[in-house]
Parts: sequence; structure tokens; C-alpha cells
Amino acid sequence: MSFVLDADIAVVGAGPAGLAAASAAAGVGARVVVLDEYPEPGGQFYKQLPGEYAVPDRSQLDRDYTKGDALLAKVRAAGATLSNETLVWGSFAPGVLAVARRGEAGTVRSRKIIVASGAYERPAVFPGWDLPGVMTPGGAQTLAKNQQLAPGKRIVLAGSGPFLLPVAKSLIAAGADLIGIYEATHPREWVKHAFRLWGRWERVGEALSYRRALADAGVPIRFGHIVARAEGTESLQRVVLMRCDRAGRARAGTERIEDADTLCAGYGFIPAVQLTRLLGCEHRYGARRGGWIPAHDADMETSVPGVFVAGEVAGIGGAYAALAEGELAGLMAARQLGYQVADAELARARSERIHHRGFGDLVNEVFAVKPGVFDQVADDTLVCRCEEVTAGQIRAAAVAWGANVNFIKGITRCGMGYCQGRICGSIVEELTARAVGCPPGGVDHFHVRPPLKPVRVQELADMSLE
Amino acid sequence: MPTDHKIAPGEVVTFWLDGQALQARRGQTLATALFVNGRRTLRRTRNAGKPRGLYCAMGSCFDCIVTVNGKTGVRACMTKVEAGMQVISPAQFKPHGSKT
Amino acid sequence: MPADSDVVIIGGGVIGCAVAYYLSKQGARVTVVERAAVGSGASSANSGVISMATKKPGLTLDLALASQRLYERLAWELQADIEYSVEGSLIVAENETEAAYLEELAAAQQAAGVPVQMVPAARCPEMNPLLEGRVLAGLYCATDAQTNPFKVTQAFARAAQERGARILGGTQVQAIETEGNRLARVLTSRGPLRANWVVNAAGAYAAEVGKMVGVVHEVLPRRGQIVVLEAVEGLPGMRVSGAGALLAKHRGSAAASGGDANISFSYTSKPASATVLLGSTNEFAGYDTRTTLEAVAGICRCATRLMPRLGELNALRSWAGLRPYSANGPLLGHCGGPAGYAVATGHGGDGVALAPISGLYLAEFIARDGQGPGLPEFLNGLKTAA
Repeated sequence: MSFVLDADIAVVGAGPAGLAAASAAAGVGARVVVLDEYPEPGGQFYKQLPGEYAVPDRSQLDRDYTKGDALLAKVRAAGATLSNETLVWGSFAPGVLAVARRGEAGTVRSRKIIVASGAYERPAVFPGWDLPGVMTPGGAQTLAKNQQLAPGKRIVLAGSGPFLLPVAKSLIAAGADLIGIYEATHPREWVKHAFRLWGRWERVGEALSYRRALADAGVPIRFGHIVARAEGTESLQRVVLMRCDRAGRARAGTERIEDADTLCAGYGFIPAVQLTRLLGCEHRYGARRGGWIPAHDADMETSVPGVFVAGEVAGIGGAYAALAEGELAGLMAARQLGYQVADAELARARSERIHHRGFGDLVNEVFAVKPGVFDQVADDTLVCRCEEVTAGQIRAAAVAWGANVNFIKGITRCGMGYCQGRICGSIVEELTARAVGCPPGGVDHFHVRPPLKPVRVQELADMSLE
Repeated sequence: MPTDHKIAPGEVVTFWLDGQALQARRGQTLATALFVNGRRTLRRTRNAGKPRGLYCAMGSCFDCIVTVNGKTGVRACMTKVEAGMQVISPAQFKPHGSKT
Repeated sequence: MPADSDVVIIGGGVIGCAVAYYLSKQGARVTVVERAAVGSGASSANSGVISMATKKPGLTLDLALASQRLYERLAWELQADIEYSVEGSLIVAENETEAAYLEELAAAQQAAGVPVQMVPAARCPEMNPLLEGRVLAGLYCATDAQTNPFKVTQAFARAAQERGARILGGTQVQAIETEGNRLARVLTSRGPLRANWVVNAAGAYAAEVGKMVGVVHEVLPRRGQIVVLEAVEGLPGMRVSGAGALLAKHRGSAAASGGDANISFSYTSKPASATVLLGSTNEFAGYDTRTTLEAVAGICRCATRLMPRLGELNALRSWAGLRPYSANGPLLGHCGGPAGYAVATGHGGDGVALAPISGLYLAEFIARDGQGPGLPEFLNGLKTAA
């Protein structure tokens, strides 16, 4: 009826942080199981190809695939177990995770848990963002890299942050006609931070290579623009973009219309903290790290002993930071269990983590979502896609009932649908904070309730209680 | 159009959308399988009947949910197409007892 | 500093807000002190069921009948959509003992004026086609209803505010002071509040408030867990619950021992959202509002036994509410303590169902400065008036 997995260390998430953690911990002898919801390991960064796809020569693949291949090979060689299509949906006792795998209920028992659940995209909200053809940049990249599919014929890419560049490159490689990139910030806002790039030549080089790819493909980048609205009847037909001021507010009379069938828009990422919340970890609000994040010490252990975090869940910071943190968390967890870990190894992981976090923080600061973005969401704009709740309904409830997003949720049903507030949660928090005049982070957050993602009633009924 | 001519999805399979036979290739998700068949709208919303398609493509937003072999609330972006799959695109509906 | 009030109500749940509404309607100056947010406790963690069929004849049933009459015109009175709808309910027996008990209950309820009837096993699946498990008989009540508990609480709160009531959210009660033998002031985290009356509507926390005036209220937090399913088309509206929990409750053995989840089955379809709530448990687990694997799995097991097709549906989340359990039914009016101290708690799982009548009675009780008729006479009076 239900299966049980036992391990020294359970790693949740098979992206860069989770795989690095598994490789490090299994490498020193720990018994590691990696639990990941997707059919292929690699997470949203490596986006490995489906196993059913024919790949005559893997060495010819893009370097994200080959890097992912190499890390996966290390994980396997170290003896860690990869459990794909495995959703961690609950935890009802310390060290025990409730999971569902391909329709089967299961329990994972371990002595340490490393949460490397990553992030999801911070949505850009505007009229028409629910039209088919409007998607997140990461979603479009998944189609391009994992599915080998261009998500549309004429594509506009909008939002903010350096992540738009690799997405653009992937879309071009997939054969899409990328008709323009609209970045909300302006390079003159970056200048004051430029000195902090000193010594990070590999990252500067990456950025330049993306720019070169865009220039070769003739894709224009327009700065200081935001999406005003998306238009179409059954699916996207037009994108209306506007110039914006430094606060992110649209400037009247600057509309620019692009005929497009696909719009990819997003403002970076939000840490996926559902599991760390459920595990009882303390969280704090870090605007520079993407919002609510689990508090953790310098070696990635959270306020709950034996629960570690690594990568984007610990604050948005990019894949390099994730790799370093995964290694650090894996080594520390293993060391706590008595496995031999050299001090030098730990020291190297710690210093790499600090180096890469520094860059991540810089990026987050420069490309932070601007306050005007939320101020100008019109009352009739949809905010909760699942339950079809508008900004006006949320604001009215906030004004009437104060700064608790959970009661607003009860009144309006925002955040009560299938996605459990993952998509609208950050927007509801921002709108509520603005409506009642308190800082973001001061309005509570949606309660997290198991199952963390939908699970069939039969699978819950099949759960073993021991 | 594939990014790299060397990479190709698996063999052709036939599946069904709302009773209509469609073809896709193994390894493709249902979202991809429907997209290559020209179907961007995957469902209509319960209350307003608005069209919805693929949004996050990574299993977070649940906007791409369809009914597969009788199971409701299946994410098209996370489910690989299989031969003979019966896919139903959810429509707007009025719950029981609602005032018109 | 907050100004004086005629009445300070401790607790901004559905009961406190209902009391505030009926008092304000009479012209009283009311302040509601709520430690978190309006409706943030048990009032937002229940299924909003208004059921007569689940009650054996007695004071609680009389209150419920009177309350439902108020519900029938509450949306109009409060000028708010509270999603009140009459769907009917069916209690099913899975064994001979339960079937015999339902027969007994039906007869007693009919005598008390509740329009219930026994239905044979074969009729049950016709009333709710999901019922494919083995049942022996059913007790059907056509008038059983439901509402949206968030919206009822909000509607009472708003209507009270419109009539001048103040609601202080995020405000803790620290002490209650008396002068002579009469209640005088409530000390809160936002300063003292002078009042002639204090109403303890603190739900599962009522015993703690009682201690402040030296009264022991036998009210315990009883946890009820719920599993919420996805909204899909075509699910039947008829509420179904298992007779087992009822039998245990009415025979006095419910949740007597700590740690026992006392899992029972209920299927409640919410018409406005099209979701289904599966319940529930009756547990004494302190103030812990987390859900447990035992309860979530157990509820789903009960559900798939009686309604196998539910197994295919997605569960979206689980949650738990702390119902103010009182062995002898609701505590309303004077229950010890100084003059000017009244209570409105102990409603168990019926807080939403009993909120209107509780509010109406407390308003009447306070208007007569505690000298009016007792609860049974009050209810009789309402019946005669109607």
C-alpha cells in the first residue's frame, strides 16, 4: 500500500543545490536519497532532456546539459539514490517526510533533511496576464531546453533581471522569433554598483556572451519599459509596453505595441519555502533575497536542528551559490552524523558560498522589483489566477480587515486554489501592505498546510501510520 | 522546431483530446503535445469561463490542469503524453445549488 | 486611550461579532477586543454547517432551530451575501447499532419538530450518488443548511461597525478589574477599557479569560481536522455524515481520552466554491492547530470506504480548528463571576450555526441587565412571537 525509504540524509530537490549536497554527503559515505518532483533530475537550472528523446551525441549538447550530466554522474558514482517524480507533501514527525511517487504513498525516514526546494518565478501582473500565450520566462525556457520547443512564433520577453538573457538565448536557439526584450531597469541605475563586479570576470564574460548572441540574432533590448497590458481574445495577440520611471510607474503617452503570440514576463524569483515552513523553521523577510527565507547559520542549518537549506530556498542567489551551499550543507549534515569531512573541504565551500552570494545579492539589489509595479495594478486586474480574485477585492478586504493576508484569503478565496497561493501570494502581500501602509513582510504570509501540492485522496488514505 | 537537429523526441503516439485523435511524440509533455497540435488553450476557468494555457511550465501554478483518463486536476506541463491517453479540457461550470 | 463602552466583548470570532451586532442594534456602545484578527480562530476553521439532524432534542437543538430561523433572513438583515443555502443532509448508518440509533434519534427529533425522516439503504445513493459504500439506513433532514463562516463573521462585524461598534484587532486582554462587586475595567495591550458589561466570547480560550475574574469555565479546545478537495464539476450537494461520531457524541463517550483522534466521516460540498470538505476529528490536543497524519489519512480512509470515487480527487490542503468544547452545551449569559460578566462560548462545532441566536440572547440578557428571562423562557418567547 505504501513504501518506506530510509536514509541518513534526505535531500529535497534535484537542482544544483540538491545534487551538490547529495554528491558531497554521499561522497564521504552517507546514505543519501534525493527526492524530486520532476520526471528528470536537474531541476529548473539544468533542465535535463526527457529520457524518451533521442540524443545521438551528448557531448554536442549545450553546456548546461553537460554540466548537469557531470554532476548527476558524480551523484550516482557517490552512491546516492535519486527518486524522481516524488513529491514531498508533508511532514508529521521530526525526520519523517510524507511523499507521493507515481500514485503511490510513501514515507521517507532520515536523520538529516536538506531542503533544496529552489524557487519559482515572481510573476508580472498586468491586465491579460492570464491569457494563453503569456507565460513566465523560466516556463518558456523549459519548453525550449527540456522540450526542444519554441513556445511561440513571435515572442516578447519582459520583466527584469539577468535571467532574461539566458532565456533569450534559449528561445533563439529553439528557433523562435524573439522580437524584443523589455527590461524594467535602466543601465544608468546599475552604474553605481559596477565596481562590485570587480573580480567576477567569469560572470561579466557570461553576460557579454549573451549580449553577443542577442546582437547576432538582431534582438533589440529596450530598457526602462514595463508591460502595460496583454491583449487578445482566445490567446495573446498584442503586447502593450510603456516606458516607466525609476519607481516602476508607467509614463502616460508612451505606449508601444508589439504584435506577438507569446509574452514571457517575470521579475526574478521567490524562494519556495513551503516545506521549510511546514518543518517549523523560523523565517525572516529579506527583501534582498527574494522575500521570506528560512533563517540559517553559516553552515546552512536552520532553526530546526538537523534541517538544512541550500540554494534558492535560502534566498535567491543563482546556481553558483546553490552549488556551494549544497556542498556545504551536504558536508555539514554528513559530519554531524559522524562521517569524516576534512576541515579544508568545509572551508573551501564556505568561502565559495560567500563569494557567490555576494554576486547574487548585487543582482537582486539592482534588479529588485520596483514599488510602482504594485501601485499601478488596477483594481479590475486579476491577481489570484486559480480562484479568479482581483486586486480590487484584495485591497477592499485589506482596508476593511487589516493586515492579515490569511483573513483576506478567507474572505476573497485568493490563495485557496490548486497552487495554494504560490503564484498570487507575493502579490497579495504587497497589495495588502500598501493598502494598510505597512512594510512588506509585516502582513503575515499565507499559512502553509499539507499537502503542499495536491495529492489524491486515495494516496492519503494509503499512508502508513507507523 | 528543434534547437539541435541531433535531438529528437521519441516515437509517435496517438492520444485523445475531447474525443478527437491527435498525434504527439514520446517524451513530450501533454502541454507540448497539445501545443504542437495548435492547442494553446488548455481549459476554461470555473467561474468566468476565461481561456487558460501554459503559464509557469514547472508545476507550480496549476493553470494548465486538464483531466487525464478520468483524473481531474492533472498538470499538462508535468505529465508526459502516452499512447491512448484520454484528455479532457475542463470547461466553465456552475456548482450545484448555485443561483443561476 | 480607548473611550468608555457599555459592553466590552472579548473575542472577535463569529460569536463575539454576533453579540456585538445585536447589542449595537439596540444602541449599546460596544467594543470588541480581538487578540489577532476578526474571525481568525475557529470561525475560519469550520465547515459552516447548520445542521439540526446532528442534534438530539434538548437546549442545543432548541437554540439551533431558533438560530436557523434567524439565518433565513440574515443575509437581508445584514445586507451581505453569506452564502446561506439549504442543501439537506443525510446521516448514514454503517452497522446495526448505528441504524438502531438513527431510528431512535429520528423519532425523538420528529417529536421535537425537526423535519427528519428515515430513508432505506437503497435510497441513500440516490440522494448522493457518490455513496457507493455499504450503508444500512439513513436519516434525512431536508432543511439542513450551510453558510460561509468567513462571510458570516465579516457580515456581523461590518454590521456592528456600521452601528457604531469598535473592533480592536491585535489587542490582548491582560486583566479584568472589578469595583465593589461589579465589573469595571478591562486592561488591554492598547490600554484600559471601562465598561458596564464584559462578554467572554473567547471560544476555546474562554477558560483563560474566566480565570481573570476567578471563574472556572469548563471549556476545552477540541480539535477538528478537515481535508479540502479540489473543485470539480458535478459533485452532489447533499451533505453526508457517518452516524458513528454522532452515536459516540450523544452517548457521551466522544473524545474522552487524550490523543484519540475520534475520526468520523463527513462530506460537505460548498456550493459557492464547488470544493468539498471532508471531515473530521474530535480530539483534545491542547492548542495545537497542526493537522496530523493519523487524521488526514483516517479521514481519507473513511471517505474512500463510503465514497470510493472520492479517491480519484485531489486533496488540496488540510486544516484544523479549535472548537470550544463544553460537556453540557453552550454557556450563554451569567455563568458565575462578578455582576456585569457574561459568557457566550462552549458552542463546540456549532459556533456558526448558533451565532445568531447567541448574539440575540446576549443582547437581550444585557439589555435587561442580567435580570431577564432564562434561556429556555427566552426561546419559548421567540417561538410564541413567531
